[in-house]
Amino acid sequence: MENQSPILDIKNLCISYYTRAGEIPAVVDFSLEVKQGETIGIVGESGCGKSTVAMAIMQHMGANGGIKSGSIKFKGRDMTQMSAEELRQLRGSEIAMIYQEPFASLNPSLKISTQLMEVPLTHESISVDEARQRTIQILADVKLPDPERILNSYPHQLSGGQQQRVVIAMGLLSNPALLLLDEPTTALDVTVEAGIVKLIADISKKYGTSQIYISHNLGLILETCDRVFVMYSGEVVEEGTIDSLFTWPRHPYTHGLFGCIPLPTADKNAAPLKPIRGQLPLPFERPQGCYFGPRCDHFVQGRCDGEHVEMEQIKGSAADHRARCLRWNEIEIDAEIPEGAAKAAIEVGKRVLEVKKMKKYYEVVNNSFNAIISGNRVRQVKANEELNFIAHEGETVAIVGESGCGKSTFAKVLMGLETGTDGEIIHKGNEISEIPVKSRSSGQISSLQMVFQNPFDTLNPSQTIGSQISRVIKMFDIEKNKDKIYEMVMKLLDTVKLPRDFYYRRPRQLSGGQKQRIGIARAFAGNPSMVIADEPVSALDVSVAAAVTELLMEIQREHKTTLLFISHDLSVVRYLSDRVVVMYLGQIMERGDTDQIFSPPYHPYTEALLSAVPIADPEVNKREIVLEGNIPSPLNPPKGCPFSTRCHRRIGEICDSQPPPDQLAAERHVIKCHIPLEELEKIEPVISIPDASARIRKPETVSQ
Amino acid sequence: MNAQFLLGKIIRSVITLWITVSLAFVLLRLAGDPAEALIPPDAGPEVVEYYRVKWGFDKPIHVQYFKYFGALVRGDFGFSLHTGKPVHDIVFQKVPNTLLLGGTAFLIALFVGIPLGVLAALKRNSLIDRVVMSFSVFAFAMPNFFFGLLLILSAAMIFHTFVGAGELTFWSLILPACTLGLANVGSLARFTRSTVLETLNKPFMAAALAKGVGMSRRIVHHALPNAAIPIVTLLGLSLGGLIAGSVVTETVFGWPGVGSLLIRAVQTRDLGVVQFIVLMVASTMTAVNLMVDLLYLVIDPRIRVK
Repeated sequence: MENQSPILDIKNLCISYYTRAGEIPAVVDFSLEVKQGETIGIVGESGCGKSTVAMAIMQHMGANGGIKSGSIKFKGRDMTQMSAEELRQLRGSEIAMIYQEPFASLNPSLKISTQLMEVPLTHESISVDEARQRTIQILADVKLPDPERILNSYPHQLSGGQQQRVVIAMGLLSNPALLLLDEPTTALDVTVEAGIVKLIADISKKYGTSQIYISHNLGLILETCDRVFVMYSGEVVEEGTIDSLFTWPRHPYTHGLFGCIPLPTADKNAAPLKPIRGQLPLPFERPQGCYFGPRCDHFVQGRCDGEHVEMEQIKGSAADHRARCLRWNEIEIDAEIPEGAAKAAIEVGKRVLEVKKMKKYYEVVNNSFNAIISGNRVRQVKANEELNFIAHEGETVAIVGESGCGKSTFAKVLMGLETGTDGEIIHKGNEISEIPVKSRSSGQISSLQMVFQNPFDTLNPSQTIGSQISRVIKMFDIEKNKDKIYEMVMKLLDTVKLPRDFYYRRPRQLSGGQKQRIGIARAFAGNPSMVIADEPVSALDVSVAAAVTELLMEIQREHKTTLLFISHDLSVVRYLSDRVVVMYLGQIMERGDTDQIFSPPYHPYTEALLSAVPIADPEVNKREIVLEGNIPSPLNPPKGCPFSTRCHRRIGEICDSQPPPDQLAAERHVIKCHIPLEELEKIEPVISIPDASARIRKPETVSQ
Repeated sequence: MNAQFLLGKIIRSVITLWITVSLAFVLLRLAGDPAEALIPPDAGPEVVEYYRVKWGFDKPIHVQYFKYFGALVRGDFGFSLHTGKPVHDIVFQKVPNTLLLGGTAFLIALFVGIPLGVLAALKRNSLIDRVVMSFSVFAFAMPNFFFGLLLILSAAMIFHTFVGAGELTFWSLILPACTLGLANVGSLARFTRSTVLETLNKPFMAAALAKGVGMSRRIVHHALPNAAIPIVTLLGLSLGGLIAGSVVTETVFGWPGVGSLLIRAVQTRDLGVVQFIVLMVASTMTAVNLMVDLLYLVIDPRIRVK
């Protein structure tokens, strides 16, 4: 307002990395202005150069990176011309940065007190006592209880959420003018993330800090920022205010991104996701003209592949909205339905899996002297407590929950990698919970397969793709004849939409999305009746993830496979599953059809989880519920309801002392809670979507 | 809890010592009759037999073993077959010399190797880095005896003095100490470089930079404690070796230490002396190892048990 000159002014910045292969331009022609108190979002997929921008602002490019041209002016002074000492004085006092992984950005061998007090001690001439007072105060500001204990701890003694609060406190200690946040919550659980996001917003408002928020998550950017820059392959392709860009995206890439994320309006049958074809070009393989050209549906030969495309002001937009597209004015993005073609729903068939009172306890043996004396040597971790649910043929059942909820343990028992402690898992009429994978017949193994979370580590790097898939076919006794196996592998490659010559490639020649397709081909090699997908797309970029998700569902549809989808992401779950099981600390809190889960009555945890997931649609209204505290350790769970320590609807003593009953809200919809159903039914929906007519808004036009 | 941890470590060390000493005992007895080796060949068989009985070599090996071990536990390390003096007197006479040489070599390794490694890591891929790394390859590729001889020759050429031959002067110390230290400087510099480089690439180092922490503090306070564990491990190994004496270097320079004593004792089949040196080497090695384990606790808070 009063201070009109920007805090940070980046003009035509070009950054390159110099390697043996030559110069690799990482960021091209990047301009950005940050005003006092403003929050800027930079969004893009991996390799788009967003983190490089942050590193350039910190003037910390590593050994082989360098600013080629352009300027970065901080409060009017060009940072590219500053001496090392001048930069050092700026860093930490005027510009602070919060890194992605809180645990990795805290020094493991120094106490929290040392790491925090260092900031004021470096930049100001104050005494150690004063510095300590200041850190205690800032720890209270980031809502960390018991600051004295935190100060005397080492990083590994704190939980992920606490660590991130410490890191934020560290960034804010000297009250910087500019705060850079590089994926500050990506490593955290959603309900913890929601708390951190709110905290950052509150504090920066309190101190008037400007922020640059870097994220791959459009929903998060929507919730936190004023303006947003969309980056693709090293350059900004579109920029504008949140409202303008999210409501009227102009660049086909931005638009394509929205088609890739499962918004609450998406539906796997009526309005499926529309993945962007192809993949991000490597920096030295960028095409002529528009970098997005080869993946764009509106590409025109002779025009889009000519001169390099410049940023252009979107005429008729009041907000400062620009796009790097020659045809922004011609293409009718709004007229086109963003979602892909509709598909028929699959019919749900007979019962494939039945889980009855399944329990999995781990024993933790404590060999300490105290434990031996007190006789408490063996403690039980109740990873899964009385799980009950059913899955049918062709059905997609999602298991949702945050870290430590037991969803992966359940998958391990199902696969036979662990054996259950009690209860039954009946798969196609056979009890399998106590049969380890070694004792299962090859038929049993092949009919129950898994797609793993991390496609980068699950393929053997020294074997060709073909031999890895052939091996599965041989192992499962499906086919012995070499030529027939080869034929089958070819068919599988067709199924997962990869070129047939991938047979001879090795994993290192494949991108993440392609690797995950191989993972899917491997899982479906034995024609399984059930596939467990453990966060199959969480390691992939948005545009690639959408394609892999769609592929997975297409194959499922074709083979009528039961899909057990394990995820922490409720938007994906809402999009693709028929039934949902919500888990918390080893217990099922709620289970039911997807519609039942996503509308009242909710379990309070489901309600909080729904509220915590950022949604990249500015017109969707969401009720804010921020949970306090951290997820308790599974070693020491609360006595009564596992959620009682964080529940925003806790009704009293009963929640702490007694396990809640399973209440039947409707047929096959069960809520484990002490609150009477009538009360739960009165709860307002968390997410409300305006109907279609109310959604059509016109861009504000500039009054000439 | 920590006391329990320590106790466990000590028990394990004692077991290691016992195994080493027993193995040495058995192997030395299997390597031929010491009486025959010690007695001049022109002596009659009855003389050999006399000494065999006198030294107890006529008894079955397990009887000898229990006798030796019983004495060991009581603090009696036996006598030299050669001179008849108690072995610990003979060996301890040489220990100060070995300690002096080993200690000096260790200090050279420490104060040259670590800074060189840190420097190379900081100036990665620069000329300095290449020079340091080439030097370190040279240092541990060079055989000790050869480098020692080179030094002796150079000293003789340049200063017209001949060092060695058992005298205890500054020059006669510094040349073997350099020889012995050199190999350790090489491996230590290389090791330090890679572990410091790894630490420098950790996100918390970028975070420290973002806080505005100065260069020297970043290296000394933030990087080195995290890079220390592998360095301490290597230092422990080389310290053990240095204290136990270097057979080759001491022999080349004629340094009157434990190493040259060991050579002589082996040549003359002086079993008592050899066994005592083996016991001493094993003890220092396990003691240093124990110290290294305890140092881990000091360096890395994550290893400390809650």
